[in-house]
Amino acid sequence: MTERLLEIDNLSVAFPSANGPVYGVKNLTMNVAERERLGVVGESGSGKSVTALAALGLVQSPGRIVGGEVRWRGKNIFDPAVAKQVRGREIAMIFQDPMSSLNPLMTVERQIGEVLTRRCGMSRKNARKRSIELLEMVGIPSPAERLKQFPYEFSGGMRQRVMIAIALAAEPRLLIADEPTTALDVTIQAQILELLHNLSEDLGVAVMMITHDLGVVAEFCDRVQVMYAGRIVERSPVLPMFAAPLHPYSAGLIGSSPRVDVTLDRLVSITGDPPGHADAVPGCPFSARCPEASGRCMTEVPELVELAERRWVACWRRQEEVLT
Amino acid sequence: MAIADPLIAAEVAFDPAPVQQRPGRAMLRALLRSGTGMFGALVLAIIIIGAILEPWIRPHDPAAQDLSQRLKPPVLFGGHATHFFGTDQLGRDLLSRVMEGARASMVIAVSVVVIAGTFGVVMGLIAGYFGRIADTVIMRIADMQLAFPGILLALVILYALGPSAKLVIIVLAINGWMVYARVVRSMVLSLRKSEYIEAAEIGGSRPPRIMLRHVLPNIASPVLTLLVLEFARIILAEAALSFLGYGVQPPGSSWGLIIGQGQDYLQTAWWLVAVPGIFISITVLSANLLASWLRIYADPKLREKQLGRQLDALIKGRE
Amino acid sequence: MVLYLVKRLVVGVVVILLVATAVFFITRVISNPALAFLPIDASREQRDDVLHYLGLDQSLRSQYWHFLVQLAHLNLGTSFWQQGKPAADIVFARLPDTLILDGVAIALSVAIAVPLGVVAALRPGSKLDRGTTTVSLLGLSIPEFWLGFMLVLIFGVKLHWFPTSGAHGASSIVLPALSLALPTSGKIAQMMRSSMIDELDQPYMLTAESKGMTTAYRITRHALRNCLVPVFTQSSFEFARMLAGYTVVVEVVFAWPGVGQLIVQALQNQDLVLLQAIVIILAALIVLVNVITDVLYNVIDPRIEVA
Repeated sequence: MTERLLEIDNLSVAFPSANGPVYGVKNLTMNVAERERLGVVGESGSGKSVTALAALGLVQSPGRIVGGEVRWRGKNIFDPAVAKQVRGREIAMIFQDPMSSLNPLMTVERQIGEVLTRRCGMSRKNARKRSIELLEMVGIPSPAERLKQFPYEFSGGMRQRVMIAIALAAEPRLLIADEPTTALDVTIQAQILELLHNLSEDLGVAVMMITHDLGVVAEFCDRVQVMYAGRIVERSPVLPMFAAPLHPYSAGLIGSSPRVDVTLDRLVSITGDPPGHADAVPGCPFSARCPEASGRCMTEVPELVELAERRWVACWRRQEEVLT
Repeated sequence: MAIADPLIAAEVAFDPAPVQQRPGRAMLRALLRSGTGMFGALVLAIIIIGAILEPWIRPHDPAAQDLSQRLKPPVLFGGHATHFFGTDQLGRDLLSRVMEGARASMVIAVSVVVIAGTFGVVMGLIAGYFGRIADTVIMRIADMQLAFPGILLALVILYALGPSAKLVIIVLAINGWMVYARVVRSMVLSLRKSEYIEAAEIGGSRPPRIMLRHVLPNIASPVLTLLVLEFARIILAEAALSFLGYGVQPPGSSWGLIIGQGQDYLQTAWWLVAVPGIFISITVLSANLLASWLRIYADPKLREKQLGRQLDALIKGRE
Repeated sequence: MVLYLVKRLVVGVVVILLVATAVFFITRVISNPALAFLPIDASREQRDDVLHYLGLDQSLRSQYWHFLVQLAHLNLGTSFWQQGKPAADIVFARLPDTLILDGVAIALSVAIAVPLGVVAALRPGSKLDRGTTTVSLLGLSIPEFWLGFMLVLIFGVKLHWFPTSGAHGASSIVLPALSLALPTSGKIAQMMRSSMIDELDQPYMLTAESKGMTTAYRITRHALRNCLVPVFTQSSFEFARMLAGYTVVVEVVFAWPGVGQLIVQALQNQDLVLLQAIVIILAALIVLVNVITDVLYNVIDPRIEVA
């Protein structure tokens, strides 16, 4: 029986602004199960990074968590004692830009070691041994020498591997990856994804992969969740979603990815712009850009409903179709 | 090369952008709304205006001696209201002397800032814009001079040529142009790479025109901040020189000189040392407050950050 | 690395030479030292004797050449005032007291400024921040010599806690060092605050938080540690600045027997040779401090590649 590791329940995160609070995510409910690979997709501003941080009980200042719960294996992660226990050990996170997400003036050894010595109670000697193992595991050659080096002495891809090593140091059960390949070259992207794939298989680590790149999702994830303006609009296993997306936004996203085997005169895109933080729209947040929007869409926010086996959609049009 | 004052060099952040004439009026309004910036500007204005109007608004003739009134304390410490800050060893009214001293200190500080500032900015413009030989020569000289022990050489020169207010101005100006040149040069260098300068050059504008219309408006705010900071620094430097006796000479007066003349009476008439020093501190503090505000105002990034922090602090305060 | 060091030292030597030349010409060309030195009614013969003895009757060019030669032999001449004693010896005898004073002052500055800056940076925009910032700004607005007098007044005269002059025993260094330290600490605190704010905002702090590192650890071992580099640079700059002149005023106020007081004495006694020696030696010292700082800076910050 696969356990639900992470449960997010009705989470809302707000940011203060001159015109009142702006929601990064609103009433978000989702979960991640043991060993699964969940993709979270959306444009910038969709709330995906906010969600990722909230999973650790973190929020970027000046934001505030204004509603909902986040539970890790049943325990409330907003409780500081729980958070202290869980962060770094049971849930770990890797970030988009390894150059700025690693301390430039601290050796790799220290940055991996601090988790081992301070969170896992290892001795310095053992931590060093384990660090070398970890560097080998992520595919960094001459690990013993590289331990003494600083982040700037590594290439982009290598740095990301170091980040992964740091994250996996304490053998977490969930790895949250916030756009880990966005800042890398395409060839390096593929390598990193392959590494993550193998590691999650071998170590039994669940992965929550935040990305805006559908290609990454298709290759890496089992389940995918599409976010728009701080809400989840569709959630589904990967293959059915790509074959037949239910939500107009997902359809738009998939449709707008250029295909190698099709020649187009014009690239397909979704009309309009993503909502700015200041525009709070009544009704479905996508209604302004949706080709199918009418009536109810403009006035009521659709709920996320399971319309087919494991397929959840938040769309009035889809709901009406199923009911009729 | 030699280490410049990190406080000044590092803090003058610069964000090149096409010419946006930020109206002086908007700046004035922003100043009025800020707390400490306004305070600084106001106090500074009062002191400068006071120094200008000094001959007409001072309560007594600063040179008037009255030996029967020697060493009287300030009014708040048992003295008489006619001598608000008390009198010195020759019976001269301290408030009047301080006001007279303000004049000299202000004149010297403003003169130095204007002279050194103009020269330094021009040098920086030339070095940054024309590059190569001009740049190397000017910057080498600047770096060499920065490595000189400033106050020491100033003392030697003042001693050798005979101290006077005029000489103090010259010496401090020679000592002070480098920082403007360095800062302006680095701003010009980053500006130069920006596209709209290239566009102007292609369009046929000649260097002086480009500098006037495009470069100057963009560097105006940081340079203004620098001018105010230097103003503060010069006041302190002049005070030190005059205190040692190598600055403004009697019968002239300056805050530093008054302190120097009063130091023997520290135990008996402490106000002679205390009062001028308080004036120096307040003036320099005001200049620093104004400069802090200017620095944040001139840089949009810093402004946003500060806005964010104030918002954050407000929220935290409410919780 | 060695090449860089050599380059910096060569530049340093050039600077010292320039300073020495500047002092030489200022003191020789601009005023004739012998005239100030003699009693007013000295006869022409006495004048000529003195001029000859001091070598001042020769052309400027040969005087300068002679000066350079002496400099190369590290001979800085003999003092007028302290008849016949080598000027360099006099200066070096006084140097330790000044270095101790400045050293203690810098150490105090950093000790005060770092906590002040960190505390302000932890809650930027708050009342605490505004308060500490105002205190820092106030500190750096106060003239050192005046602060010296005020400290003497309050702690020396009124409270009798500390001696007010001279250099005997540990307690006598407190007031003069504080006079130098407080304004300097204001500057360092400002810099500390803005460096710290920048570091706290950095993404790697978030990474550390996500690893479950405690707040205290993150602040000290990550952010603060990274701020130490600019603190170090600025401290040595301030140390050089003190040597370059501001020690003078404090030593005068406290009758501290260091090089600063020596300068004033040399000025009062018209001893140009001594004056020259002081300026040259201090300039050399400042160059040395700058070079050492540059080198150490390259060592401390691993990102800097040596030129």
